[in-house]
Amino acid sequence: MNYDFLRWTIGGQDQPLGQASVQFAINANTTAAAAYEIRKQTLTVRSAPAQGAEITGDKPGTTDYTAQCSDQQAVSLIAPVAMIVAGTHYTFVRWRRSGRMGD
Amino acid sequence: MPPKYDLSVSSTGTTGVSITGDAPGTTDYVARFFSGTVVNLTAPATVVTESLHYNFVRWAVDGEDRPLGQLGVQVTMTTGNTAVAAYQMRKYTLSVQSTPPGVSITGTAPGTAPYSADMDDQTTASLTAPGTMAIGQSDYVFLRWKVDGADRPLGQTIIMIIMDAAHTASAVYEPAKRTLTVQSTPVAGVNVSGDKPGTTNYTATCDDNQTISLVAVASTTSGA
Repeated sequence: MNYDFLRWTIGGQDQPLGQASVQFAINANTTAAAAYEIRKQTLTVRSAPAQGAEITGDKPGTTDYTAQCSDQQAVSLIAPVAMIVAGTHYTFVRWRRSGRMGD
Repeated sequence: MPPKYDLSVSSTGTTGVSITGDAPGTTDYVARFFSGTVVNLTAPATVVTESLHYNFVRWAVDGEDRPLGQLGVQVTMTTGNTAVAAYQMRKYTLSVQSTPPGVSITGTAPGTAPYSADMDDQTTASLTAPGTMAIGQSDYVFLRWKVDGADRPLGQTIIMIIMDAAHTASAVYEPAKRTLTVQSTPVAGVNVSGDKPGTTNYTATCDDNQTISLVAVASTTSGA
């Protein structure tokens, strides 16, 4: 799992977000804590040849849309077997995945 | 025949001084001379009495001071005359230093280091250094005394020095130590660089008031 640096906390005092380098004078026993967060990945969900498919599962939405996921998170998506867009009937064929989450 | 008069030879500061010259003797004593006689007296530059050293200061003839350090003196006998050899106990310089400077020392020769004090021969100087002290924003902890460059026991803040010569005493301090704990959340094993590098979670020892820089990696990977 990938983590990205968030901030330092020096002696209980939060330092600016994203500032990976800190400098301080130590006048007592002190704890310096580096906080990280799990890296965010963007999941883009599309449908072709028509948009407007109602996707269900962990990241529901109506195509085309995006969702934020945690690195290495397992995501389930369920497409409708059939849909009608502007009077045209479409039948689900397959999912196509471009790369893996986290790649 | 001219009359004879008494020449009283004495000493101050110490007694029993052996005077040489025309009227030798050991102070305090009296010699008799004819009026008009010129009497030469010579005092020793140093005298040791009961293991204490005394240095000659000056003669005083008939109450009149003669030049400092002039060991020989002439007395022209008139009526009763006096010659007094003044001595003072030898003094030695005690130099007191500290690292860092600015430490307040107590005892029989107190002061703020660096300083010096003149001590009488064979006296015992007592010096006490504080166990901790602060200079500016930095705290220091006493380490040891050094006397004439020789280490005294670690942590012994009180020393006694017999002043049988000039001595130098130095109080040695070291910066107070602070513990720096470096952690990372929610994942450990993060490499940190800078003045106290390591891999979280870890601790490092720092000097008080030391400026520390730490640099965290922008991203890390956990096998979990």
